[in-house]
Amino acid sequence: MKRLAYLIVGASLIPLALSLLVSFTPSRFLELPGDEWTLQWYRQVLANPVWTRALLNSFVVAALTTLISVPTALAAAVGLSRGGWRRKPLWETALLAPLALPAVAIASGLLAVVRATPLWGSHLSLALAHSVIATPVAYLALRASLERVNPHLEAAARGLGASPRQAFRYVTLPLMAPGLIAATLFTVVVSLNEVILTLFLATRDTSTLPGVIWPNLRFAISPQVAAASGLLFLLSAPALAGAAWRLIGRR
Amino acid sequence: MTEARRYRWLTAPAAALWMLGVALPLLLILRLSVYSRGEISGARQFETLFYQPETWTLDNFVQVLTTPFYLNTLAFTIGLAVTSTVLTLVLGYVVAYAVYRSSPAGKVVLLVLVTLPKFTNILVFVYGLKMILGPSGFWPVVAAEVLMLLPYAVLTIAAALEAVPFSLVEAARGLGASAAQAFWKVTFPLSLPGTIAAATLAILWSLGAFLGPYLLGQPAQYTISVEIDRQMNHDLNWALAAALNVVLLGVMAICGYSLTSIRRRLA
Amino acid sequence: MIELVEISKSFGSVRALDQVSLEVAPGEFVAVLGPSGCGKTTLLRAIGGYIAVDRGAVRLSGHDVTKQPPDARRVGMVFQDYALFPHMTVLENVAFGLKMRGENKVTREQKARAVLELTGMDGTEARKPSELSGGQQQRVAVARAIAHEPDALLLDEPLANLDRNIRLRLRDELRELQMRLKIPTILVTHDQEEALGVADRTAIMNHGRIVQIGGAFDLTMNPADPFVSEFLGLDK
Repeated sequence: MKRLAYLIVGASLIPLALSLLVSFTPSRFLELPGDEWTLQWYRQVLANPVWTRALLNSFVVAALTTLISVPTALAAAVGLSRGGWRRKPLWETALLAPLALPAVAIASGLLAVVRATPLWGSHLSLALAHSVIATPVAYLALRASLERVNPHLEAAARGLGASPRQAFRYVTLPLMAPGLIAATLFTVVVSLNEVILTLFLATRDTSTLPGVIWPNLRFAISPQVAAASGLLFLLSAPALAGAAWRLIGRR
Repeated sequence: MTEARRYRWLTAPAAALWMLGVALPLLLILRLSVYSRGEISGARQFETLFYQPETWTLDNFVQVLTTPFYLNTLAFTIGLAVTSTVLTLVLGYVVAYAVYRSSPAGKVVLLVLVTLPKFTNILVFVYGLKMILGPSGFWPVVAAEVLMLLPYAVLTIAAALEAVPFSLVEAARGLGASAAQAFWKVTFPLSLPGTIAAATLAILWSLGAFLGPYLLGQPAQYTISVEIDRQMNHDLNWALAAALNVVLLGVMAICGYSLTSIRRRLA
Repeated sequence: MIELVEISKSFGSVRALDQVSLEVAPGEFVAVLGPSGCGKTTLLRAIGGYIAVDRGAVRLSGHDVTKQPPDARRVGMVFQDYALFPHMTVLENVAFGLKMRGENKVTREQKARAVLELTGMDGTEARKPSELSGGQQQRVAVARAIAHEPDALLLDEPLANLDRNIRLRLRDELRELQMRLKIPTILVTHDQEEALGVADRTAIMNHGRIVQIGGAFDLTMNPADPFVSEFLGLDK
């Protein structure tokens, strides 16, 4: 049983490993590198303004998305847990709904909204769209970490003369640090990797890496695409390592 | 209570984002789905979105529900979703059960490995799949969908299994049940609500399948989502795309509702 | 001086506090004893300002604080789980109340060190609470509660999580410290021996009311009703 499970999990990792390996191939075709490994495809990608602009856009949009999503999710987590709501499960379901809705539906609706505003074609519009998906993800991480903070601590701080805001600022917030880090990592990963919203809402000038990889993936398969994908993985890797470290470190 | 009330304002930014990013787009889709665009096409359609006489029509829905092409696409979408969901559940249950029976360190290793693909770009992933599976077709699409859904299914089912104390199985064994009997009579029924939760998630997400069919399928494997993209971004018939969206959301609502009520009845 | 004037508090249909009146003089140590659910913790939370009473008044050192939030009252509270801030050092924990009251860094560290010495915890300033034993954590919690010179010291089962030997020693230390500082103190407990052994007066609570209040001798010689005598184990 366990062997079968590891087999399934192993198989699910093959595509990832393959596409990373191919990015180092010396061949012009999708072949695994033999004895010879090369960074030529990475060099080509980084020398091409189409790719470098996409890379820059990815950074800008991920940063904006984080600035929007994490504070929004933090405020929502505190507000929902302490607001004394009678129908809290309902509001929480609504908040998490973007995770269940098909991305194409959100994307096409958002396209219609954004086209009607001056935001069309801006990094901000893309970041706002990414935030629609990233905020619920950040919320889940922050809710879990807020629930782990002993409520007596804030009560103790209040008794020692801290206002509600000070008690949150000096006690609860620092104790939520792991959750804040996780929420930030998740948000960055969501934004860097979001494909569908990017396809619908990005213009030539604002498109992030996935948006540029996309047409290449459909029409012109070359190891250059593997290198661009590799870069994307490299960008998410610190976040991945952070999350894994947290997962293991918690035990 | 008054202090609790003041905390409610903290949800305002999330509520604003929700109105702007979820409610408004969905409302606009509803409006567009009954919109008669006449001769206006392309991005100019949004200029006439607001109420105007004689721009209301059910033609878009009639077109979706009577054209064999759209009906076939819809049937294929549902068939693909059901196939992917069943496969995901079987494979996900096997992995989740291995997590359940592993040592604490083993659990972490398995869970990290399972979630690893989720931290990489879906395109990297599809790219690798394309290399392995070669020519596009139905099964590559299913493979892509299953692999995308697997991590969530494993996490959900593993959480449900973790809540079943192994001592129950041992008690059943002590009362004369075989290992298989103990599993089917004790472990499986107790993990069923979590498994149905995983099924709900899997069917909802695979009904919206877009990337797998688009990148690994032939036109015969195109789903409703792919067709929405085509109408939206290539044929620029937003009204028809909106009607397709409403139909898709309707199918999702029916699936989600029935699975949730089954889960409620079990719990 | 702690003065409670006929305070009442209901949660839904449950009367947690039913017209409770109590005066604790400066330097006096009062224990509140009762079975779980008798309202004793609610009483403490009402004095600390964590819950608003429905009726009645709470006065500390002559000031009416009934409508004030916890941070506006000068109260030192020791929680059953100590509620030490895990991300701060011992010194930062003890100095927190002074920081919130706007003392500068030098003064508050000086005062915090003095209080730590008073509780026998000098030398642990730089440690984190997780590096201390249960008894040490309890002492730090007491140090933190008295560092800002509160009008009242409120102890919520502060010894419940400790081994018996340490409990007895800390109980006596606590009493000695309280007599030196002359802070009016309320100790909430469900342990008769602890209450009668340490307090000047003990209040017995049941169903949100103070059934009887008095010294150990009073209570054991003249229990007011069968509940008191049963609860104190006098029937045996």
